Amino acid sequence: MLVALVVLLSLIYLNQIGKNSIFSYKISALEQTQSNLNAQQQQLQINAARLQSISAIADSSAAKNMVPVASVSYAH
Amino acid sequence: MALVVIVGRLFYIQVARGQDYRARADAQQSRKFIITAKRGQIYVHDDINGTSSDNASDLYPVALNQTLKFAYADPSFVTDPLATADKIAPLLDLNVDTLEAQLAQKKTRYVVLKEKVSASAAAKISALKLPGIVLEDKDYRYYPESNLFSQELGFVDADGKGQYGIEGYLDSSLAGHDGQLKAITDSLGVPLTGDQNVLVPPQNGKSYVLTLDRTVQHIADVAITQAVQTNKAASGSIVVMDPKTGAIRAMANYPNFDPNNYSAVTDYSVFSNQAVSDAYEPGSVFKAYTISAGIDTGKITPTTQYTDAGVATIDGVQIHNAEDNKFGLQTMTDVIQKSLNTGAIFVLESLGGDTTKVVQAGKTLFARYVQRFGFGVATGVEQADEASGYVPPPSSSDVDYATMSFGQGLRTTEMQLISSMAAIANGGTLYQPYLVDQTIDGDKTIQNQPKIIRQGVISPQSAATVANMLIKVVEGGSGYQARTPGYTIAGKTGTAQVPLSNGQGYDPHKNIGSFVGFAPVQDPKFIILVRVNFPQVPGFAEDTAVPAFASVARQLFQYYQIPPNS
Repeated sequence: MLVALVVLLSLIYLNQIGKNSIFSYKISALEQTQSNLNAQQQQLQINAARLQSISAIADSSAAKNMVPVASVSYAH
Repeated sequence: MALVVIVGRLFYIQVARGQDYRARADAQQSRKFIITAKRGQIYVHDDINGTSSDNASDLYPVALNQTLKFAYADPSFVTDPLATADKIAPLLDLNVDTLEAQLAQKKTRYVVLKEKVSASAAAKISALKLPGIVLEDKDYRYYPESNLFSQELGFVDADGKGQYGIEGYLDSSLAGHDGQLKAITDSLGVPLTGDQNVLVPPQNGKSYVLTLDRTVQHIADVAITQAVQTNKAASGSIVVMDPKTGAIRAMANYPNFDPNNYSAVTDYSVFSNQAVSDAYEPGSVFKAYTISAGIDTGKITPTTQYTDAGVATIDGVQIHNAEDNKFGLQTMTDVIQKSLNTGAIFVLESLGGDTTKVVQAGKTLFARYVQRFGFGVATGVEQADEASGYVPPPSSSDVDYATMSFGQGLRTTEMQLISSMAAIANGGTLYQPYLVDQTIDGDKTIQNQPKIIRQGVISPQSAATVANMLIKVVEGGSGYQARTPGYTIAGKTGTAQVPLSNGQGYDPHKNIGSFVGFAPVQDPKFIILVRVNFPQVPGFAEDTAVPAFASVARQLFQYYQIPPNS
């Protein structure tokens, strides 16, 4: 009886340890996903800043077709 | 007996040697992981009205973090240096022979191969699974505007330390503090979740929003680049400030550098922000402060007259006007408009109560006003290596003070000149020039408030009088090229001599042209300082510095949507 109880408790313990390990790896995987998403966000932010930089805007076809401001009229 | 042996052994292992075995087990099962703190980012304003805003969409990032791969080798693990070099040299754009020699150094455990490895090259190298070749993530700084804000930002060096500019000045705050995870790991070293783990979270660095406006900075950058190149000058700078707060809207230097590629710079002096760290003799710009002292003490008025003989003799030393001009009977407005050295000396003499000579009381009073305008003391602007300048004490000779009255023999910084002129523009309040508008600490945003250094530097009436006198400089004096129909502009030029490095007089071939002006005078929206160092074309500041001022001012009238008043 005592042996059976010890075996049962051991099995429960091993089961919990196993579950714990599985959850650990799931958490690690989620952390990795979070890290990847952060990296993507970082890269997108860099790309956005690069595309909005003044040199990029000046080199754009839209900017090249613009003409300088000659005069400004103000409505008083 | 056996039980005694077993118990004894257990006692020995668990009690006598327990601590040692626990330490060994910890070493095998747990590891410490450094969690790198994210460096704070730096933003500037990017709104069409050029005004401060807490709306994130009006901000533009000028310093960002970028995680890239960093390649290094542990040659002790490299089994075939030649084959390894053959495979990775083309991917890393390295010389095969040099790389092979590096990989063959078996006693070396760490050889840096390449920083900022592209994602595609990193993937190809990883796929090769070469022993001894390691790719690690590393955070790098990225500056999307390249040269535009170079000296104001500075850069982050290969060790992750901020150098120069804001990166240097606020390095510890931007860097934050790394965290640490001490965790039980699996056989591959992957940390496992458990209550035995100890996590000290990282404190990410603070981010900053600068007062700089990207458009104004661009306008200033283009203008100073043209001014330096047109005048074949050595260098130059333009600072734009809000005269009612001290907020700096632009601070452009030329030459400048690309902080993304700072290691390509050979002349390290280009790293310094000359607008902050380079004190120089300001020349005739300083007459504005001499006149201010005279007006505020009531010793002179704009119509006070004196006779300009073209030369003043102080302690037997003759001091001439520029170009040896001689105009006869002149008013104090003429002194400013024609930039007469003898007139500035007359004001200094007037401060002492004797218009025939410089006396101690006059020097002391003048020094007090110079100090009240903030000269001789660093302004505290958030930049590394700010200079304090130098103001001779009143115990200096009469000649020293006579020359100081027209801006020679003392050293000032651009920060001091623009903030003191702003005090004249705004009615007498000296604001600390500042670059940090907001501090972002996690979810909190802290708005920086303008800081008043001194109120009542001169009275509002005196400030208005001096401003009106400075209008004459633009309307009919050396600042005439800044005249803009419909707008009232006040300012003062200065063409300063440059002392020889041996201290024996001035270099006849060098000058520094500068102009400080503000507009519209009745409600100033901006103040601009232009400085052009060592132009190689003939002429004074009216030809070297004023055109750049005019270019910036006219664009700012449009950018800030300031309608003409006439």
